[in-house]
Amino acid sequence: MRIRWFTFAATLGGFAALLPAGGSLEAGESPQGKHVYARYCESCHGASGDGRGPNAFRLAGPAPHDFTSGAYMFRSTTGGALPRHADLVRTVAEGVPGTSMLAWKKVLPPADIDAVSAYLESFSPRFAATPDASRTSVHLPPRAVAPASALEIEAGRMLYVAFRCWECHGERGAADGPASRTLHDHMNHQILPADLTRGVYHSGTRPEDLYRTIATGLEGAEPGNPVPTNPMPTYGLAVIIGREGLADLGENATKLDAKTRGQVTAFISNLPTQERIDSLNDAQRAYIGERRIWLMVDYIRSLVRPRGPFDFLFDDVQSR
Amino acid sequence: MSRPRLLLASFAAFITLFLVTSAASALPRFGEREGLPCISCHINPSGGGMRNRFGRYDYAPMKLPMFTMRNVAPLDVDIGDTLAFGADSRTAYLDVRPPAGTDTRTIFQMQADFYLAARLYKGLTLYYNQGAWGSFEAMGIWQQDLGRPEFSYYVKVGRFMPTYGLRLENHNVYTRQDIGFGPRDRDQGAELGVYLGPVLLQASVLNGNPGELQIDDNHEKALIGRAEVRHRFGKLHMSAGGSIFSNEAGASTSTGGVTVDGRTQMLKWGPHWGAAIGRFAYLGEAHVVKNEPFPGNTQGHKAHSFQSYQELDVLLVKGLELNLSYEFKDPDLDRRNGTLSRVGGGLEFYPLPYVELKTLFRKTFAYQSGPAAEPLNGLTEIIGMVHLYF
Repeated sequence: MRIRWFTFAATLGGFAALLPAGGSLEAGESPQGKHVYARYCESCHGASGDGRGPNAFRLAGPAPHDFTSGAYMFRSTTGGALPRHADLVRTVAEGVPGTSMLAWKKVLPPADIDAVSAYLESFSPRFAATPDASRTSVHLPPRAVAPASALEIEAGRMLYVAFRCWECHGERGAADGPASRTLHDHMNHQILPADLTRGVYHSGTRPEDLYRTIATGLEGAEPGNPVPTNPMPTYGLAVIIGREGLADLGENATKLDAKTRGQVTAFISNLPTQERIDSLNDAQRAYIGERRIWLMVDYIRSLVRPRGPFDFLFDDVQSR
Repeated sequence: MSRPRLLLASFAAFITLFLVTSAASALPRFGEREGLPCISCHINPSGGGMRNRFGRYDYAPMKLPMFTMRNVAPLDVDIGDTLAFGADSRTAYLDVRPPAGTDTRTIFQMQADFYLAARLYKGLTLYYNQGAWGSFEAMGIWQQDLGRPEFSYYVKVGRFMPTYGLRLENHNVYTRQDIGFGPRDRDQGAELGVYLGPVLLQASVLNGNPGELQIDDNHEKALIGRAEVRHRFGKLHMSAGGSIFSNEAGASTSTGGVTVDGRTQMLKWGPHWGAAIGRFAYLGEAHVVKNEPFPGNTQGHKAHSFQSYQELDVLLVKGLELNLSYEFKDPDLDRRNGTLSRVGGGLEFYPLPYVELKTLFRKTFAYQSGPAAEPLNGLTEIIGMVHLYF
């Protein structure tokens, strides 16, 4: 027995002697962030942050994010811009629902989440060129009135059709709109729109998260590539538009049922004209934009399919 | 000692042997549920033993336990970027009630394994597993992509558990220990594994002389092949595969001009399969073992047996799982007696990261009479276990 443990101790010593020097830190990298990343993130996102870790291709759902691109979907900034540091912290802490990216706030202390979020920025030179202070978040107002009334939900439905969300997500949110199979990312990979009836949204499940997604879109811009990393557009200021700009429901309008088409046309005709909107001050225009987005959020939240009696059997409870 | 008492004593010795052995755990149902191969969570591509960073820092603390430990300093067992250690400890209370004779009630340290893994450089890992009961594994593992990450291969050289069938954590199921893959049955040799997207192909050349560390005096080596494919159909994860093991055991010896042929040709083969959806995971395997003595081997015994294992797991809530199992074996397919069935049920509870509490109740039934079956008919086993790991 003594010989056996001697062998064991010798092996341990041998291991230590075999160790090469540890990896060195690049300038600006946080040792704590690098440490956390290596343990918790590298298996999927890869040592170089390119989203090609050893488990990347084995996981179900979307591929792990490529941090080297500097293109991010989950932002409080406008489409194509870099996210704020707080956006990265939020994504790490809350995870990406419906994917293999878990909510790390369950395990990691805030200091570690902060450090690893800062470390993620080191993978793309875009961050160094654009300090966090110069990245501006879109105003995300709190929900004025909750819960939404039936009237508000109906108004949200009209806006959802008028702003052509239905073309991808489907009139009832089942990801079956006429354009749902035509979407592609910057790598020309097919992208399927979110199925809004599931109530699981990648950017977060709170109403505020949905608001942010509509306001800022999911478009990430990779330098040198004009095609965004995700086709979900930035609505933001675009929703502050007069009825003239919404009058044309698009070439897919014929695929709407006649009743809905008539309702939406009538709804649009009651919206203020562009001239009227132009006459408003900034605060009034901002209020219109915020109100319209919140109404769409109310409608989208109303689309969630009631759970069937046996749905719980097929829940992915381990990812919660 | 009467024959029944002798058989019971033999059985008690067998049970004790199975408990007092090192067991490197692997839980294929986790792989089935996630749709992931063993290498996703374990350093050893064949599963079991030390977890890699994904298994240790992602899966174990996040997906398994009922309660996570927020704001508690996370476990960190890595020494720098290149050396890591780990351990498994399984302490069990065992209550074995044979149909006749004396009950066994005891506390056993079933497993105490200590692991070390050193990444010598990118792609090459040296892995060592020392079990408290004397068994060990030591291997070098070389891994490399074949141009694309979903296409890769590994080469494993050293002493390890042969890669065959489902590597269940319970080594005394009929499809493990009974067919020669018990916890001590580590062997020396080399293994090649190739990942072609969802397909995994593994082939090994081993001494074919598992157990104690010794020189193999038989020039013929054991050849093992294993193939597996996994696929996701939406929420449904499925896998299917098969294994084959061929070996010429024993040796032909000459003493004083007299040649004694002790060789036996061994062949084991069988499929394994699995499916998982939502809270449910189902696994199964079935194996045929054929031992054929060489014509000159007059002392050898011909054996032709069949073993199967099936398991259904239901995740009641996160961290609490119901396990049901059914095993069947026919120790001699050429005789019409001696078949055994064993049903099992229990709960597996992961209250906190790196902690598992397990209960298991098993009962054995003999459906046909025979010397091997009779003393086990009605055998009841109750096991409670505390498992700590990292």
